[in-house]
Amino acid sequence: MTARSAPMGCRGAEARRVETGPMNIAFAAPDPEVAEISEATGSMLTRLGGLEIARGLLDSDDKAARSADAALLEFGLLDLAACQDPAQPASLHHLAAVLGALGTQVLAARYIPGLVQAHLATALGLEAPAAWTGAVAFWDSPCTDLAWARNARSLVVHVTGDAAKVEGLAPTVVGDLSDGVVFIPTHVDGDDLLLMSPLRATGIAVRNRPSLSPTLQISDLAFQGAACRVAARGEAARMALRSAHRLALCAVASAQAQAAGAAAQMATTYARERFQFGLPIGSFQAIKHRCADMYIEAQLARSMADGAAADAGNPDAPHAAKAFCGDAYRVVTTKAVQIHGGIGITWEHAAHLYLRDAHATATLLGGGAAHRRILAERAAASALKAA
Amino acid sequence: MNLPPALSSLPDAASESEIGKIVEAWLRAELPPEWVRAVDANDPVALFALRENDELSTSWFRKLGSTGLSTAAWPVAYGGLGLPRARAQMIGRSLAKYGAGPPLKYFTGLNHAGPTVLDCGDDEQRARFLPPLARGDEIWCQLFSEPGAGSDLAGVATRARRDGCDWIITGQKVWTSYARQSDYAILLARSDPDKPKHQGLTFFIVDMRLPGIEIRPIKQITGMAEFNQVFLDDVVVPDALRVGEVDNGWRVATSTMLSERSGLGNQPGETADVAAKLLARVAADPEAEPAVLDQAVTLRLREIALNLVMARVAHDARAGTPGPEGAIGKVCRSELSQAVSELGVASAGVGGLDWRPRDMGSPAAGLLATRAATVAGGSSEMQRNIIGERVLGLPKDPGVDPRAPWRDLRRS
Repeated sequence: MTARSAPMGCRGAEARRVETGPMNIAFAAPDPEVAEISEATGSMLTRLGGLEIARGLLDSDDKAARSADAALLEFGLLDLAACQDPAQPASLHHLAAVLGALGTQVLAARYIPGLVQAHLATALGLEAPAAWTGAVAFWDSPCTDLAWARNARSLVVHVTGDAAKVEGLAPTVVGDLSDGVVFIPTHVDGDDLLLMSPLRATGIAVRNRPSLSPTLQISDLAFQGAACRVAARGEAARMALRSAHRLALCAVASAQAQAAGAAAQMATTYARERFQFGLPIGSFQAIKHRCADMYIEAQLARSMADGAAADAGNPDAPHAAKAFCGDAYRVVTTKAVQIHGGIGITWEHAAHLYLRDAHATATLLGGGAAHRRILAERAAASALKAA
Repeated sequence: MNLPPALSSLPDAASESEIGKIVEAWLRAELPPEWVRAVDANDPVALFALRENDELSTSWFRKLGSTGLSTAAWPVAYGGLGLPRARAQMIGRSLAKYGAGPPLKYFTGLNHAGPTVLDCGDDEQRARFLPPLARGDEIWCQLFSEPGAGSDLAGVATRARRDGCDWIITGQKVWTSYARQSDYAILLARSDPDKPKHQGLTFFIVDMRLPGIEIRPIKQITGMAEFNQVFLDDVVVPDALRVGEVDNGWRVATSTMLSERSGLGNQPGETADVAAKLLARVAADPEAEPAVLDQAVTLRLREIALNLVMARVAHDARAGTPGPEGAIGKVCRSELSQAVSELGVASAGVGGLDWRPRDMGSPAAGLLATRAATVAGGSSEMQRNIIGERVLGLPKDPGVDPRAPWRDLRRS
């Protein structure tokens, strides 16, 4: 209101404050505990094989990945994702730190679906899963409203009390669907419902899709008269899914930001060690400036992801982080592959693991354009309210 | 050259458009009927399948090559038609229209080795190698790049030592297409490590079946292995197969690269409008984000401008050899193809992430396949150096000493 009534071009303190009003993320000083968690996860992942885990999956060898699955369960990662109070947005700081460490090894996408599912289960007062299998069917939706709507469009649901029969296809569900439970947000007779079913139940067929990124598993779920249970409805369902969605967005963004940093570092190390024309290629400004740009992008992304994870209750923050970090990670990996020259386009080199992960995770939960549109709509709504 | 009757009027054609008519009439009569049908039906998938059929496309090229149409600018004595460049290009465009140009495995021979031998070889080498190359009887590959010499090609370390009438060659080459299928290679080797790097190189023709040559495929991020590493261990090459003077190989290699730049950046008919295709797809999607549509339009505008600038460069260069302005095409086309592929993945959502090794055509496959474009055939960084230094006349990077003996240069 103040800004609107102030004369055009006013640069007073009051006007500045209001200008930053509709969209902002607060700075939080780094938490030493968070740094500790990140470091501990990092050294554990190095012991487990680092990038070789994702490399193995790319070459259809999941031995190292299975060891990592077990180690991360024992580490208590699933418990970190559990929801203490669905009315309060989860404290994401610690979880984001672990995901950042997973991101540097291109592993985050393998574990995020399980974490989101664990969060949702505990938010609904159900028992948390004890394995990484299972998923929530909303991975192509930038916001929960769309998640309800999209599933409602592709599924036919008949509800009788707390039981539901489901027909149709839930496409591109992310996660390991070999076992565990699937949660399905859907919309029936004017009510938002969260359905759930064991994945091994009769009437559910899982069709795995081949994936660009070895750590991102994608499947189509076909329901043929599957008997599901209504886990929650109405406001309870909406609140739980919103909390899980927020966790998913922040988790992906944290992983992307740290992965961008790792890819940038890998390429910068190469620029230092690779000689052409008698000099390290990093001494040529064409390369040096690319390295500096990658560093800048990764630093911006890191602060964005950290800020979003720490700024609980800010409804813009998860969208902002997902849009920004996804773009930053893609930009960095394009440069990182290029700096490696010919070796960067070989199967044996790890640069393309980051490239694959960047583009795969950017599409999860809606691309950058979708999240920027949501932010723009919110900014417009808040401007309208202010007027 | 014994031109078939249908083509006999070609050398005396009054105009380029008349050339196009003559060539297309001949193509319609001589191509397999299903090939012509695929062209008429505008069916790129069917045409691709026909071209991928090695037996069919090879036998087609033998027929085409014997007419001299695919080497029309070469002298008649060496398997060409002796036509001026602009007329040869017109023939190239007509061939491209029918997807009837030489199969990829002949690319290095026709675009790199042939022009180099023509320009820098002796009469004996021209008479021995050019006619079979033009006819499609022999396949060639290029042994230039090394693990330690990519952008810095003049830094190659493969050694050539004189031994009487022979040379003994030892070293490791990389990024060689069709090495296994090739009969011959053009090779750049270090003959004098004590001279500055550009002055101690010698250029050879190497028989790829010689003992001491070992070929290993390189698997790329696409899952395919189109390139190879080639190891040379005391391979004996007669001095008669040296191209150009001893220690003057850089001049010969420069001639090869001039033909390479024009070949990769400005291939008539080969420049598919990738942004136009993406825009058509995104525009047809009712759920497309406005921002994605805006990006697709932006990329298409860039593509239109690029096509126009390349047409102007080609028009200006028609009489002479291609200038360094060709680097504009290489930089813009390769970077555009990457941007288009990235938006292709982003606009397709999670459903666009389907990918299997050796996959072609999906958005995810496009993302991976376009990565080579900004590296192969001269990286974008080197192309920008060409523009900065040769077009704009800016000085070279400081710290690079072209006079230091190659032996003293630090290598990784």
